[in-house]
Amino acid sequence: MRAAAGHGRVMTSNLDTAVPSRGDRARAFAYFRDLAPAMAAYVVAIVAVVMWGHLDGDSPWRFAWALLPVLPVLGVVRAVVRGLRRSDEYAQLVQLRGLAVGFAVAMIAYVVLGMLMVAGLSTPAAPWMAFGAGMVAWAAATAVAAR
Amino acid sequence: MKNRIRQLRTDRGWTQAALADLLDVSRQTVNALETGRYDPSLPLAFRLARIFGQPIEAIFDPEDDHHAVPPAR
Repeated sequence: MRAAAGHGRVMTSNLDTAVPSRGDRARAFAYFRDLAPAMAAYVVAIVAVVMWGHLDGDSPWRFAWALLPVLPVLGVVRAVVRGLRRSDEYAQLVQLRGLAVGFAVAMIAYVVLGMLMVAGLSTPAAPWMAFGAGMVAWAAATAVAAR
Repeated sequence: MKNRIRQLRTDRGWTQAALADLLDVSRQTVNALETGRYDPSLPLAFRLARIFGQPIEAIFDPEDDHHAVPPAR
């Protein structure tokens, strides 16, 4: 459908819709196909660790159980990297800006929490706090970069 | 850098998604190009030129580009 002119600007509401392209949908499906099995495996691993891991016990196997969920997380990392490689040059720029900010925030959070723990602060949740800060910063910075 | 991508696209009755598929980029990338938030790489600029059947300098206007090299005297 052709655009109609008005006030010197081309009125093209039907041509400027935010409907994803076929390529967008194909890339999103490929990303989901990579990510979904890894996330499902992560949930299964977490449930298995909670049910049978006995991380608060004294068996030497508890360390292996504790590391079990890391394996599917590697699958998540693989999905993100593959998704990044499928993206075009602008999407890669946006994603890398977000990743850079997320990495910086996570590193700063680790240093801050590490120094506080050296000074006597005791919190087992410290690594998770740094992880959360990095993830939130990654998501927020990506959203800002894409605006 | 200013460009005429949106005008050239709408003149042909194409949606952003249709142009994105022709360029093999995302619709968001087409939007970023049209609004001047992103200047394309040279290969992408050549793809745009080929699709629109126009030379690159007819699509992009380096007038505002502070990095432009001044003409030789």
